[in-house]
Amino acid sequence: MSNLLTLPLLVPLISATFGILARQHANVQRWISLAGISVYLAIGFILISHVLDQSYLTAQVGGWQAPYGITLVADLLSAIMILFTGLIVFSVLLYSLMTSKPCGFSPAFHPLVHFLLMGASGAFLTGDIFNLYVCFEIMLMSSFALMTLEGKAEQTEGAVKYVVLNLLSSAIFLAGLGLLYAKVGSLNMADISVISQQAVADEKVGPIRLAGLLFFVSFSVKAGMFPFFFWLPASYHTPSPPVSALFSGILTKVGVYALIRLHTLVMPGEVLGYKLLLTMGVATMLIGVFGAASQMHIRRILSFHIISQIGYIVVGIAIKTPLALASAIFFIGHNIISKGNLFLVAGLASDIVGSEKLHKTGGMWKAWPQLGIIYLISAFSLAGFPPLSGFVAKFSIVWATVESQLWWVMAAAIFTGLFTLYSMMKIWVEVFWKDHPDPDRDLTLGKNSRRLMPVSLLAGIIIFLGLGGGPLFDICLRAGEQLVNPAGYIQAVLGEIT
Amino acid sequence: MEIIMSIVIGVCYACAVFLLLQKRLLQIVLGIALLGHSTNLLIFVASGLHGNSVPIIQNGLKELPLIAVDPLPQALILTAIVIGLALFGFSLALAYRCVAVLGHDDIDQITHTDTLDDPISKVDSKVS
Amino acid sequence: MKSSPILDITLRWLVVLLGIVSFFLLLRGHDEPGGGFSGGLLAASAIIITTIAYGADAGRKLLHFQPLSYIAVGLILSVLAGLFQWDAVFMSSIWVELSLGFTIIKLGTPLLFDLGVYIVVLGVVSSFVLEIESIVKIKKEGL
Repeated sequence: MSNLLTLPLLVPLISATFGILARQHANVQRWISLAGISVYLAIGFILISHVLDQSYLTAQVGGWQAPYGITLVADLLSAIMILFTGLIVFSVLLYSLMTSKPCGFSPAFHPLVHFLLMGASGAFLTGDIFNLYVCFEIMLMSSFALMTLEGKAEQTEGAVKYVVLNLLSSAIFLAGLGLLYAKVGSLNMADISVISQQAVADEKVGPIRLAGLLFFVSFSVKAGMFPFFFWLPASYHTPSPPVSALFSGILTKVGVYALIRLHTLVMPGEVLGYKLLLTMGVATMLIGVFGAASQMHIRRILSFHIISQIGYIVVGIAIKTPLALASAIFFIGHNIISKGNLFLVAGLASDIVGSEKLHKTGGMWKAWPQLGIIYLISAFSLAGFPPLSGFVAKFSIVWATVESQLWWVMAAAIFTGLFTLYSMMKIWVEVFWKDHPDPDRDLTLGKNSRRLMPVSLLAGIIIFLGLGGGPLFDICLRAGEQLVNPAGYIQAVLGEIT
Repeated sequence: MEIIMSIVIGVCYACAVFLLLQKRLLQIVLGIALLGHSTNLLIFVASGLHGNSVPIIQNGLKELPLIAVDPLPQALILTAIVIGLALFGFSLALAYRCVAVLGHDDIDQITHTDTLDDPISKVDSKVS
Repeated sequence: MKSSPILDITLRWLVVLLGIVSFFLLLRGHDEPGGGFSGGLLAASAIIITTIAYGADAGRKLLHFQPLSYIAVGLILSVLAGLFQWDAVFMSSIWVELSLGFTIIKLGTPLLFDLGVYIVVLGVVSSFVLEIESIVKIKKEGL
């Protein structure tokens, strides 16, 4: 049974490997890729049903007991992250199979996506902090290659910024790891949690706090938090739209996931300043929407919105009540789906109108109202309208701030929601509503109409998340409670020894 | 010994940061590589420099001799070196690609993905 | 490309020697210094020397298959090594002792894993070198 936990790593690895072997046969490779992600998605559902049943699943890889070996752990947070990652990768691969752009044909694309998926699932499942670093690197490496796959000038430019800043943050992470190991002598996160709780009790928290701050800086760079977000809007709009959607869905969310683990498990108590995290979250929200308001390029607006949405999640993490953590988790899931869908819709629309610059677009509503409706569903969800997923997510975050009586945070969250609506409406008016500046432009979808399938699938998930908000939020609430009380996690990992 | 090594690591970090702040991409790539190596040294020293025998229990004994080194940091460094090798290879290729596509490797001129689009002017910027 | 007779003769022996020593490193790697990674690097250095001496085509010929295939095959071998004992946890190891009369050979899944690493490293490093060498060659011919 414990082999179930290794499957989310093995399945992408195997499909990537066979994808490499089949690199000269595009069709075979596509089927391998699709089969791989379908199996992964199925495993995601099985995993979450088991975790709902048993709360924690652990596997000691190679039979080496914790804290000496590498432990794989799945709690509800990990299972939810794996499920949503599977959903977005499935839709993105479906989308890229139906596109005629060169990205879908590059023999490296499918194996790289699966390696990225492997790195992400490894990061979600590992209970070992050095393993987390390794999984981060696997994921980053594939994302570097995906970003530069087409080798265009702007991709090279974007990749320079992206690569340099992310490698810098990885080096900081590694330095923090070295210092932490020197102090606590363990790499198992549950074990570290026990030791640092002891250190908090003894008021000897200094060296651990230093390592924690290094981790914090590194994860904030990866999550795209203020003031470390500059690489994100400079690079996310340059690769092809499916790759953008994938990045927005997975990369920053893995950074946020690591931040949750750091804040709740590795450094419990007040080791990381709660006010620091809260202020950074609010600043991230506001800077993100203001940045988006000044942009006139579809995917650049969306990139800035990734930042502002990260702000909401960080606020949830900072407040750290079960409700706030649950809303952060729900927000991550909602954001993976609606943000990814917006990137896919933007890619589809810009393929048809021929540009991503707002002043050169238009006429999509008359030509393709179906796409307009799908766009509106995702955009309203992002802005937080009922009955869509964004409403549940934002409402619960706002409710958490009210519960903790953080009025200024609540005001910032509501204000950010309004500004999000402004940017979404800007894209709506410019791309869909107004006439195309070139009246002779052919706006027929042609073969592109097949690509409506994956985006409508995602739109369906958004509505489902919104309408099923109550029961689904209960699951997130259970996950939040698991995070607030790490004793269960520690027991599950170290149980055989203590 | 630890003190000397700490100073060496500090100097390595200083050089890495100096290189990272330079204008040419190649220098930045070298800076990142140096940063990775200084971090490896940091892990090495952080575990302590005592001990001078391999951490393998000899025949006939039941436990490790006290002078055995901690093997884990070395395993960590080995992993980090392997990852660093791959990342360094990729960054060099990226720097090469940058020169090939853009014709220069001056960081100050790589700003096209950061600039705002002018909504009024219909002229595209050079790279779009 | 014309090469010197000295390089020619040395290389013929050196490539064979590097191959043997790299395999030696691979086999002793379980509890002595060595292992798949260093063995693979040494094997790749045979490819690198050949490439430097005679160009990328000679390196490819020595490698016989494409470097990417090496990477894929090596990964499959490593995963297989972990899956050998399906009822236990992933990566649990099994050892078999073969008695050959004069000596005992210990074979186990860690060795298979190391072999996979060896092949992956060989593939990765030679693909670095061969790609860069091909680019340089195209540039020279272009001028």
